[in-house]
Amino acid sequence: MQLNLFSKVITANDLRSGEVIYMCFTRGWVAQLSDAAVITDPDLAKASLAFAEGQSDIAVGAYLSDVTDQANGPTATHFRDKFRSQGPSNYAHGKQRI
Amino acid sequence: MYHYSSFDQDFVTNRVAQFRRQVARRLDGSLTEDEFKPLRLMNGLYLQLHAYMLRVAIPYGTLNSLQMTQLAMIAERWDKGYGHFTTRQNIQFNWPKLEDVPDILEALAEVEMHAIQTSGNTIRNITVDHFAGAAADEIADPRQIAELLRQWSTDHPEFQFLPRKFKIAVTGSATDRAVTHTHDIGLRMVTQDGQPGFEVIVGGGLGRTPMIGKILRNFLLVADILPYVEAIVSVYNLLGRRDNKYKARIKITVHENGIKEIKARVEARYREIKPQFQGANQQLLSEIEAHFKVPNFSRGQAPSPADFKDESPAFRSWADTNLTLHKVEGYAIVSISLKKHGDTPGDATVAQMRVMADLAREFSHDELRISHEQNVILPHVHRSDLPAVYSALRTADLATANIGLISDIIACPGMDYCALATARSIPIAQQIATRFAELKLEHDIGPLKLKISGCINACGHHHMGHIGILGLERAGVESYQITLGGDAGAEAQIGTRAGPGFAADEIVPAIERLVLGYLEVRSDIHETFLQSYQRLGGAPFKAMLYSAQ
Repeated sequence: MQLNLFSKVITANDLRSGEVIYMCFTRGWVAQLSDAAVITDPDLAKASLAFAEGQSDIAVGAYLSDVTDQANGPTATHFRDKFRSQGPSNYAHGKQRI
Repeated sequence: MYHYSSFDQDFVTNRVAQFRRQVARRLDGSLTEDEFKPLRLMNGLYLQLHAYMLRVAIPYGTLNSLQMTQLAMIAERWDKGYGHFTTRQNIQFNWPKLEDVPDILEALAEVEMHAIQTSGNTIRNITVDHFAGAAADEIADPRQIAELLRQWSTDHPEFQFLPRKFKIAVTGSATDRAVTHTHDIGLRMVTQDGQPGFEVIVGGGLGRTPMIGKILRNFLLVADILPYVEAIVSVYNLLGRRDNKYKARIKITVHENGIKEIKARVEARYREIKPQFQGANQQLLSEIEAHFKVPNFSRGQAPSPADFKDESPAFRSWADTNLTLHKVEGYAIVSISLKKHGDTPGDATVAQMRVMADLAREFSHDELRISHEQNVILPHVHRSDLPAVYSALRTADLATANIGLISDIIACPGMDYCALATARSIPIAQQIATRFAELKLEHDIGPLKLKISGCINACGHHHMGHIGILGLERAGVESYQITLGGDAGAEAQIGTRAGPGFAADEIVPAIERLVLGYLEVRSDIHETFLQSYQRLGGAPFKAMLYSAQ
């Protein structure tokens, strides 16, 4: 089996709440990484990021984040993006409560 | 304490109204994020890892009970039920929504507070010895000077776009509790021929290039402080580098130009601008001094420590660590630890904030202080009230007896909140505090300053810790570097890196080896960790750290 080394999601912060959000091609911006669209094509990633950056009335600071695509959805590769997808470790004030 | 004039109140109220309109324009799409970002930052609003963060200035760390109560209300109504007190003596709210921030700022303005200049390349909140006005070892209360500098620097038209942020610390005591040597300007009160004045230190700083400040003036009369500080900042404004943000702080300006050249320029500028003040600064200072009336300390006799022999061992342990000698006999300075073992350093819940406000109102002449070590101070408590204060603190989970001990850890928010962080700080602090509580050794270990930063920007002052921990990313995982021998006191020292970093699951055992090793090598129970390190040098301590590897 050949691994696809290019596997990304688009993430940003919600303009109004500041909450971490992810782009989903069918449902717009979503709160859970597991619902995010996984992009495996570099050209599509570039175009999608440009689209996300154009939605500055919703999303702030959009960027491409590395993920591994697993059975229950994408999981962040870098620990920073893992923390963003889960919330802080000292209180269940982030996405842990959802 | 200082109370706003009608000018101050109008200024702050107008800024809230301006920001309300700016937020509305951002939300309706009239402003882009690039246009809005500098406007929100000017009002202390950051966008962090999980949410917006509002940083509220607590000028020189001084609060009254009404202000603390309002901070509690804000935390309850618009945040998640707590606030985080910082090493800049500020408070941060970690979860405000953008559209609520104008209302939060309005609530702050109602109690003479704001978030102006808690971000940006401006002069930030001026920090002061948290025992100011109460310490037995103080020459004079330095907060009047800090208030003068606050008024001068707030919205100063010349200094809104400095090469980089600018931090000033002031102490009125020989015991430096304000870390003056690592600020852009540090002002240490001294006397000369019976006259109070300041030793002026310039070019200190932490971050990626830690430097101890250099003395620019051995003695400067109190009356000359404002034109002299303006001279320093205006020289920096011209000479400071704007081509590289990592070389833009005044420490680099001093390093690259030399203290001699900086001094010559500052003195020339000082001579030029001093006459322009025409005594207005003295008039302003005398008006400010009228706000800082000494409380009525007239309750007389109070129990001596020996008189508390019938109190519980827990009370006596707390009294041993959390009380400091007051300048007036019969009174004590109470440090309230926000470092309960296993909790987040610097965090206080809404209920705790209200308890502290009530205690200040009833027992501390309505004054509270926030320390740069992320604790809260009741500066003026009559000793006969100490059992009642302790009892209330204990009920509120605020009576941890660990001030100055290993679990009284400074920790920045780290990667649990901060967008700049490279690793987490809070869980490391929680684990170390919990471990040493389990060992029941921290009172035997004695004074030990442990400070943790989650990135090289060093908000957790790790360079100045007797033990410092710096969280970094190494090969895609969190890694923790240790520095040893730092000292934030009057003989300021930057710690020395011990060696390679430790993984997140290795750092607590490493600290345990280090501290248990210190207990073996100290000359007697009175030799502190820092004294042992200074006596023995780094080699035995490095061996303790790396013995398991």
